[in-house]
Amino acid sequence: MTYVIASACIGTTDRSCVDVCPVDCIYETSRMLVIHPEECIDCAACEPACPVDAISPAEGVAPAERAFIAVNAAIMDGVPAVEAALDEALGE
Amino acid sequence: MKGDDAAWFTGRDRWFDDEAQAPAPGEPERDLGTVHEPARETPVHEETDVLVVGGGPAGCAAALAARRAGARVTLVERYNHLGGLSTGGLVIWIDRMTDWSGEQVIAGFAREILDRLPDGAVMGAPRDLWGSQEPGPVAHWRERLGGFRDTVTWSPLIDPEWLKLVSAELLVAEGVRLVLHSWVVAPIADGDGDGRRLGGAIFESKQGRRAIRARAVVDATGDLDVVAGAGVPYESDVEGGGSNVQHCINTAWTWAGVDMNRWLAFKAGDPAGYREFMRAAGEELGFVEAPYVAWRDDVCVFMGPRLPGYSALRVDDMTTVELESRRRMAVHLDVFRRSAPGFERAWLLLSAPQLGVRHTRRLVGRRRMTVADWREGVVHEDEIGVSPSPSAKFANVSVPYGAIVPAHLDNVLVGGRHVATDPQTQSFMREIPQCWLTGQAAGAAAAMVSATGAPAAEVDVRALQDELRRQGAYVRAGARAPA
Repeated sequence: MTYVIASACIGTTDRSCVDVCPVDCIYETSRMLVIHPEECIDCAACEPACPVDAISPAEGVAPAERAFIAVNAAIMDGVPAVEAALDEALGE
Repeated sequence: MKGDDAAWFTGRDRWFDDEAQAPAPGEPERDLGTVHEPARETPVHEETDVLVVGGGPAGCAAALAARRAGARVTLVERYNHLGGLSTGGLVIWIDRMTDWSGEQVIAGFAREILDRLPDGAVMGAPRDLWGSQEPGPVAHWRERLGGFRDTVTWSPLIDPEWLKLVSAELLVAEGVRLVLHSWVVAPIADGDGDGRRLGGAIFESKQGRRAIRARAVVDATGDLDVVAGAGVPYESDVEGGGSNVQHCINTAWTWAGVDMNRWLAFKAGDPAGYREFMRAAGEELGFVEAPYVAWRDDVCVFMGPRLPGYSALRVDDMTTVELESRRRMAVHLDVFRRSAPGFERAWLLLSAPQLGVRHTRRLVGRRRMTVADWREGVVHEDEIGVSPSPSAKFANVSVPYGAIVPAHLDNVLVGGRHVATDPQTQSFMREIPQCWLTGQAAGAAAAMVSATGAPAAEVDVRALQDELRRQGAYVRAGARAPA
């Protein structure tokens, strides 16, 4: 597990992180961007690029935001899995 | 652990945020003034051709390479062993040395030292599977850290005790002079120069402060201590405010008494059960680390807990990380013994004697490795080695000689995680095999600097490439073509 995008991205999806990611591991879903945990090389390029401070190392995710670790990881099963995980995280 | 009361051995009711221990990360230090130390005469302990500072992966490779290139070599190491993070830091997972086709591109010292380990001290995919994309072997080796994405890789786990012993015996047998238990604290300026040459370094030990004179110096400290100590510019993401990229720090740990085959069978056979275990553990502890199989199946390694926001150039931060990591080790042991299949009889084997630091400073070199270069597949004409690329989308990464040559010093070479790169490239150039690679090149080049007295920037790169090939390194023929 490496870097994670949390709730601040929802509705923002600025995509600055996508531009700086050297391995193109950031994927766009309908409501937010997510980081593929197996493709992320842990380089930290995206973290300072985010205008809304949505990105942090998984270990540094605020307790209230920890559900977003699973939301990001769901990209391993595809975009629909992310949408479902996000619904669950938001209690919808 | 006694129920959910974590305070039984801390005397406190909380694990974290202990305000008494140290100032918070980033908090300014209190100004308590200074003391004056008088100038003094420092005895010379040794005179040598090449002084290697630091006996981690890069320093070991550098010392051997310099020796084999004909130099007299002294290696100074602050701990009681060689291997640095690969032994004392419990980074016993030696990351990928094969490229996406399965060719071992990080060879040379990397191949030799691993080949010298005895049977039972190395666990990794057999050679005939490297590069395989067969689902069966990929699935098997991914669980044992020998598969990345959908490819089987040469990325074994090693027994750190054997690596310590074999490293020291190899170096000593080849005539490297080892000085253990000694911490290099300052470079010595070469009085004749224009500030671009070092005359060696000062170290401290139980014998006090002593000097080693040398014709060339390899900074294999991991933290660029020698070059930074010479007062020349460097790059840092954790010091100086130039960047807010965070680099985690941790004390890793190993447990014994585990049955990793049962654990892996549980993960594979009951994915929902595994997810639920990790979820529940995360909920109980507020964080959870996953165990990985080590060099034998009754030992596991935890490569965290990665703690962000601390600086490994600040002793208060380092102290906090040590305390915090070991507390997390204890609470993990409790949870895993209670409910993880295969961990019922687990016990604490070792918490790492060396702190797991990923980055502090980087060299300002004659050349800087950048994302743009490796995304374009640039092959540098001064290539000293090749790193596997972070993704199969990209070609192998050419490592230029200029990235280990300081821009501001003439008789110093750099090997290890602090070579000249951008932060993104450092994320893989910091791994153990890459440190072996740059260390070997730094040592061979330092021997040439020592022999000729010429600045490192004027080393005959063709001769250096030939020497590295002679020592078993992988340097591409294409790299010989003029730029």
